[in-house]
Amino acid sequence: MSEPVIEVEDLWFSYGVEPVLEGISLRVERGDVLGLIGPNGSGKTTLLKLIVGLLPLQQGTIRLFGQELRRFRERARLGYVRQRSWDFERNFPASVEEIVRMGRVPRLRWGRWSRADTEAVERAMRAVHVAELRARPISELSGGQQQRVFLARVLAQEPEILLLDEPTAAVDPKVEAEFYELLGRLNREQGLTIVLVSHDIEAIVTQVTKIACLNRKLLFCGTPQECLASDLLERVYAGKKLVRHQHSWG
Amino acid sequence: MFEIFEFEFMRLAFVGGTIIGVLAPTIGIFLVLRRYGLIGDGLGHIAFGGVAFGQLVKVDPIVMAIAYSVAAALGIEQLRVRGRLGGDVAIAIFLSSGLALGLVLARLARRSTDQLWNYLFGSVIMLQPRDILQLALIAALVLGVLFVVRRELFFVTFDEETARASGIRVGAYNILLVMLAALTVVSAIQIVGLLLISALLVLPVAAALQLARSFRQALSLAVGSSLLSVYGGLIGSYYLDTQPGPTIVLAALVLFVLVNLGRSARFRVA
Repeated sequence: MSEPVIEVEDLWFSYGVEPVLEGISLRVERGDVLGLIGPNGSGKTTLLKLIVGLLPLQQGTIRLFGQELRRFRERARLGYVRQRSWDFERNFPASVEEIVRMGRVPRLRWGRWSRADTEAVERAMRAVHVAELRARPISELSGGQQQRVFLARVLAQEPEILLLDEPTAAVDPKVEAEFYELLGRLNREQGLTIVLVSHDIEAIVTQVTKIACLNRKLLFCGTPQECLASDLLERVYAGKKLVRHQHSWG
Repeated sequence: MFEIFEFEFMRLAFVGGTIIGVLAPTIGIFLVLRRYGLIGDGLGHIAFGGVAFGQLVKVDPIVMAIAYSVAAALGIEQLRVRGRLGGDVAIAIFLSSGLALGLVLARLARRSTDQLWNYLFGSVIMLQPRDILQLALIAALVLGVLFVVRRELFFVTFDEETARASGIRVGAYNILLVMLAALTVVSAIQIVGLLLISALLVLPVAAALQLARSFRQALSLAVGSSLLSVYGGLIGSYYLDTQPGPTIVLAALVLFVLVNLGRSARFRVA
């Protein structure tokens, strides 16, 4: 059995009275590409935020690399790309390279920048093809390009697990397909474990090795084939036909 | 032209102005990008309360102003973090009560309004070498700390949530930032005054943001335009016989307007 990198046990969470997560148990192993799907408001983002420590643990346990979340200090091993990462201050003056260099900050020793840091930044920019955009201001780039820059930033951090929250919600289907292709490559070539939140199952079904379907409770966890074969999606999405969403970027 | 440098106080004003001219936009760029632009205003008003209290209890007014504004900076940040009040409301509360307290205390200390005026709007004529030394020490401290934490602060400023998720202690950096802002505001007391320092934190940065294509560029442009405003303002005030503080601020405003006009003209051509 391969090594579990994220273990969630009987996790409950509520923002007020109503729980948004009810007794979730989930296990992610090294090298997995887990697609976390579910309708809006199903608790996907909440689960991710609990894992990366942005929300306080209320009930249940989370272990990262076998260590209790409370005691876990090596946060740089987790790379998190938040929802709406392109939603930043419009006139923020930052070049692509400056953004990607942020990814090294959690890895710096005593705040000292070394040659290894520069190399990690270069590798990350090349991996997602943004090296040639390095001097461009982030605000001038297209949605797809910005997406790649934020992926480069998290790759520069050299995480072992990537957690992405709706990373393609603002790009067109072609860019989206390229983005998932890229994630697949990172998983195969670098052995990166990936957790991907999406409400768009069609877009991710061919890219992931495991699917977890969430609607406050964990309804299903297994291979994409098993998931598609079951009638679960129909039930979860209440008969809504699952179509690829056409998002406009503007 | 150079007769201006024949006066000791003018030479000191240029040295002090240079220090403030570098310091204010360097901290200001982080404040503006975090939408904390008004905190300088709030802290200035509060520092005034500190000055008046210092006079009343016969403690160095600058020391008391630092104590007041640093404490208030922590208070504002606490109110904001707890989420009960927006950052702007927190600043507004401290701002008006700080000024009110200052005026009441000044009255109790029986100080003349002239002296108050100097603290509020700056008074380079009263500058002593000792003041410049004090200013230089504060500036060295603030700039030194900023240099050490620049990468973390840049990350937190751009994307607080991601910074927090990657283990950066966002709360600590936010507190550090407002404390450094408090020190900067007080250090400017004699050059531009407590009520006008906010302009020097914000205006040169606002001008730089119109042109910059990277953070590094924005910082250089902001410092450059701040120094231009300070020198222009000091020279202008000498020849027009106006107060240096407000003249510096007006120079910064003119520069900001010119940059905006230039930018829109360029877009029309392009």
